Amino acid sequence: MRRALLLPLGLLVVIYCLFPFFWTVVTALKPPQEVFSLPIRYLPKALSAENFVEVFHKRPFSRYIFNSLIVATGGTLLTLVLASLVAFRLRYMPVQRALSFQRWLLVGAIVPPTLLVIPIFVVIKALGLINNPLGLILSYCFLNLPFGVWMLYAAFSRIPKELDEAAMIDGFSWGGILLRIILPLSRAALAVSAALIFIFCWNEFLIALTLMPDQNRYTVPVGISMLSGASIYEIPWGQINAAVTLTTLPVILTVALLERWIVEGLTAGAIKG
Amino acid sequence: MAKVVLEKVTKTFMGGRVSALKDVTLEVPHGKFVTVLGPSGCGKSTLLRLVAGLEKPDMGEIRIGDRRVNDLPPAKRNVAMVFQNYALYPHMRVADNIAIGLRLRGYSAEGTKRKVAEVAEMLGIDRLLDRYPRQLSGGQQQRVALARALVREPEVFLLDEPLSNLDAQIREQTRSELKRLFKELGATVIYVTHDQAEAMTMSDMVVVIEAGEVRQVGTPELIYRDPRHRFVAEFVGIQRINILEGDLKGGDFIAADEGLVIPLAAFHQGRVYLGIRPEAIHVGEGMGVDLVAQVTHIEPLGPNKTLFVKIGTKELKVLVRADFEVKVGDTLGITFSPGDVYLFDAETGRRLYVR
Repeated sequence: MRRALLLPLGLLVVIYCLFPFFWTVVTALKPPQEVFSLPIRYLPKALSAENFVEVFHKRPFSRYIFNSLIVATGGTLLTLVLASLVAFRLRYMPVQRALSFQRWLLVGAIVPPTLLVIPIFVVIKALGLINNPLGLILSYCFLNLPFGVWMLYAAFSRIPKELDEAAMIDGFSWGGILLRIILPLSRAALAVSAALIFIFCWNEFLIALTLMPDQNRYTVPVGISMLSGASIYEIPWGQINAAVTLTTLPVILTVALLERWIVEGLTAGAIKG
Repeated sequence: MAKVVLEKVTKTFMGGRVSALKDVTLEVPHGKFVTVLGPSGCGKSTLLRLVAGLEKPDMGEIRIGDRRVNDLPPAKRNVAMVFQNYALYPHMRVADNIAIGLRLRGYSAEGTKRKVAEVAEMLGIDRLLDRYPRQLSGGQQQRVALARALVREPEVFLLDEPLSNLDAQIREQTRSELKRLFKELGATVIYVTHDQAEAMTMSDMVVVIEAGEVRQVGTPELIYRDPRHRFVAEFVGIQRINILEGDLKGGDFIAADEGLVIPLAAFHQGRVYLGIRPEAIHVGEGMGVDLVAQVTHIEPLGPNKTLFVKIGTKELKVLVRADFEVKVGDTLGITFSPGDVYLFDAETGRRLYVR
């Protein structure tokens, strides 16, 4: 009975969530003249790659994708490295102190990024990193670090301390304990954090626009916002949707790649349950 | 192999607010199986962790062999530890769990493989080497944990309640296996447990700890026969010892509410605890102290049974054979020798030798 109710409900939610994406893909695949045709066609009459060709042809769109990949990958990796180190250090603090430290981190995370754009710009400018991907990577790391620390600290806390101690007696160094015991056992949390941080970096618009004003340094979201038609009155919806379709792919790929780890529960058997 | 010495070791936690070990001096002789026995929270695990190097003492010195190890990290102390929950690396196969300590010490791949195979065979887990810990039963995991310790041939083995997570049946079997194994190796072993049966059956020497202080060190027989402290007398013994509070006056023991007088010819004045083991009290008369008691409750124990008897206002436990005919409400004569009575100072709990 409950199953019978859940299934259509779930289906509804799925359709609700996926319809915008479906519409994006369909629009991207329509020939340009069909995009505005009335009555609305939910399925295109003919498929066309014209919009995709245009995006790459008229714009250095592959360049944007490359920039985004660098920034998002760099931001994700740097955040995870630092968050691992911080969370590992917190693991050896008294729990009360570790938690209060994290509360302060959370306060930092509550401030909306929009408010931080100006201070971030000032700092990155002072560092001479405007138009340098490193500036964006540092900013993204700064914004995502609290989240990363929270995720990883929670995951690390589920690993019994005796494992660290056994490792110490076995002769592991501190780095060895983190890299070869703690992190492999936190793969699920690492994967979830990586996916979410990557998506944040990939989609981030405002800071990317502010810190990378050079056309060649645009990331994908900035690039898409700058797509324009022959005149300022024309918005090239077909091309925009083609670009969005293309840029969603890496995100879907990332999640698909990490899914195996996300689902896996690896700590089973660490200690007698 | 080597001896382990603790000298005036003190350890506190939470910035000195919780005291785990107080001025502990102890020598674990080379090649002996020494059990540290005590209730939970008495500091026995802390003692083990101090020797392992997982904790640092506030004061005092720890030596392994002739080396002062206070400032050495765990890996450099040449000790191996078996944890209560085994602490196997869940993401590594059994073979790697055992081998990792050797690899990190720079053993050749060839030599590591040979030693792992040797130890695995000795413990009967050679067929499990390709499995992951989660695919093993509790007893098998315990053997892997043991193999990880054995393979390194450390100077000292530290075992922290290694049997307490096993089922009763397999625990007893493993108990005797462990004893034989370490005997054959001639290993120095420090074994922590709260289970007096393990302590009595396995050890060459027992260290009884209460509230961070060593109460007595000795062979299992001595600990049982000649307890030096009230806590030792109460903690050791399958049947809990009878303890009565009272005063010694003119050679007699007078229970606190004067409901019982026991003539002992003990020349000491003041408040004491009197201890007498249930197995030292007999039904009948003529052993020196004769009393009349009423049976209030009977607990069968296989070959024996425990009688709870009342003398005045006091209750004592008496161990009799299972075939002894008795029922609740019966009045019996009971007797024991004054020589089987232990007297303990009421303040310090120390044994009084005043007879």
